[in-house]
Amino acid sequence: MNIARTAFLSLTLAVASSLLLACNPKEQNKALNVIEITPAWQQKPMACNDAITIQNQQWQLQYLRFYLSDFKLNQQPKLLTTTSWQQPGLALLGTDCHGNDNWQLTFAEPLAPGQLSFTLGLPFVVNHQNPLKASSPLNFSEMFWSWQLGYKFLRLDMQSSHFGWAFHLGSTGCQSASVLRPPALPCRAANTFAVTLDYQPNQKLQFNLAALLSEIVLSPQSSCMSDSLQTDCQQLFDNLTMAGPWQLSPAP
Amino acid sequence: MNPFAPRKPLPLPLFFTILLLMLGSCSKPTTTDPAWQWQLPEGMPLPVVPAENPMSQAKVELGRYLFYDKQLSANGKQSCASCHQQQFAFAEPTDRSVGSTGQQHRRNALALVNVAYNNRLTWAHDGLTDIEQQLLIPLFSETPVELGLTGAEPQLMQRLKKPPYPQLFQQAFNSEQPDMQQVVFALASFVRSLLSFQSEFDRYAYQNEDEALSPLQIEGMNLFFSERLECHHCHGGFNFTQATSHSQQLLDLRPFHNTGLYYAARPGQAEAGYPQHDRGLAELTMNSTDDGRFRAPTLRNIALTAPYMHDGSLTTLEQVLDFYQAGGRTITAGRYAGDGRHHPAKSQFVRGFQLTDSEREAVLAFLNSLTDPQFIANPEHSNPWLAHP
Repeated sequence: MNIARTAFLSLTLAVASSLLLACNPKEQNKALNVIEITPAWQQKPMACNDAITIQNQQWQLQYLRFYLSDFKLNQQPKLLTTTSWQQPGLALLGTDCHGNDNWQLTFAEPLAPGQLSFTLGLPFVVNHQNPLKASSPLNFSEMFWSWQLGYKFLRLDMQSSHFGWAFHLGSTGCQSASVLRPPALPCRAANTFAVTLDYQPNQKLQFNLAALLSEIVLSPQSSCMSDSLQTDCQQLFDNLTMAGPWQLSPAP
Repeated sequence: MNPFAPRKPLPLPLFFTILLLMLGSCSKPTTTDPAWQWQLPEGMPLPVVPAENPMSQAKVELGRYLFYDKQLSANGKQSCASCHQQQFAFAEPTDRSVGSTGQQHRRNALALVNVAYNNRLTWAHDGLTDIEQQLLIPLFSETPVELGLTGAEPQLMQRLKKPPYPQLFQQAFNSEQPDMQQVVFALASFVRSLLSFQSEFDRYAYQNEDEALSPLQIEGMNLFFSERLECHHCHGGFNFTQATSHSQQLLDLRPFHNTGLYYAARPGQAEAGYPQHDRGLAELTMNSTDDGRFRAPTLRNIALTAPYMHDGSLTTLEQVLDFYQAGGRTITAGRYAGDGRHHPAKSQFVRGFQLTDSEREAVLAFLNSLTDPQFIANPEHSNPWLAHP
């Protein structure tokens, strides 16, 4: 009886452990198709509740969200899974500082090491569709301007004890009959920013806010709604070119 | 028999017998009511309805009788419709509502327009997401008393045993016996049926009728959606409020804002802010950064729903425009004296702007294009007791 029980238990254990082992490689694969994103201030991860000091003033994040699209690895398109935060070709990342956060990209397949590229912003064909008929995360009125201008590619709202400051990135110079009609031709300033980085598996993607705000004096007048004639917007656009605030960490 | 031979179709009479049996098994007495059809323009997403209270024509009809019935107040003096009047898009032309016992409410009655889409209800409550929950406030609240039903439920149930209710309850819930849960479910269903999508703006925006708006209204619309005016930051989406969710909208929004209406010294309080008797969301969250934060209401039918703001303290749309143009309100004298423009929790999108006289006229013309005349004339939303006294 005892022998039978022991044999049964061993068999159960053997089957269970082989099942666990069989699961393991899958677990690793799962991790390899996810890139975590971290908002950072001068390389230090930051959260909404953190006080950050800019020009001797205390600031807090109130809202930081952005759309990334057109993911490629070594020039080959890489698709994302479909969730409420992403569609195969695009993702909405960030936080509203009220607990609605998304800080990861989930790809349909594992990512090998290589040149990872993506675009901050949305492609023209997607940007001016009817948002009513769009599916998540493109039906999100907080990130939407109008048919004419499309989406806010990046929305950063910050608050000091004295005033708020905001940077909303999106296309400008879009010609159509009214704000509620989509443009037929591409906008004069698409204001999308391509990023390419050397990727190694398990690296995290950091979005460094300090680099984005480099040389910007935060004042009630320097908030930027993507008007390219405004010098602060020019500076912010410059800060977004090349790798800009994007960095993979830890370094390979 | 060759298993790969094409299957012989069922003999026709047998097919119909099976079909009839299948149909017959579905048609229990409870489902004699026709399925609910949302009256929505093409492409408009469906509202999200709680699973325990699906829409039906019979529930909406019962809810309509209840909504307009003064017996729903303990003293028989008020119905829901006393403060939510169809001709004013189910708001009322009074700064702050008065309850059935004459008690003054501290807030302005909100319009009931496309409430089926609201992800937050009332002026400043973070947790009220379903109409079924919200309804308990007007029905049972004691501070202030609105319909004042607390303790009067047995009397109400007696009243609801008189015609036409037994038949209406039977059709809606398959039982002539009324109960409070059913009253709430039926009222919620009626409120969900109050949909307004037939304004001139809708025809322009969603039916693609370029002629539906005048050039002046289009100019105003362009200004409304501009970064200069920033209106759409809080009054965004197809309902002109962030407090909107629908079947395609999976992400939650937080739709409360301080617009700089008050910044007054408060007796016994270290910090100035909104008047002590109504501090908005801060009352619930106990967080001073939520002081004066109220939900941005829909702008649909806004020309019909004067006066404005949570306490009805702005009388006309022109005043509202002046208020936002100034970036808040300065009160020079009295209990609430102070400069609301400097409230530290004020939304950064209320910064003030300049408008020429013609631009101002254009914005007002646009706001008027959000009026839906069919909504306020729709007999399906009207008082059924006038037809059956």
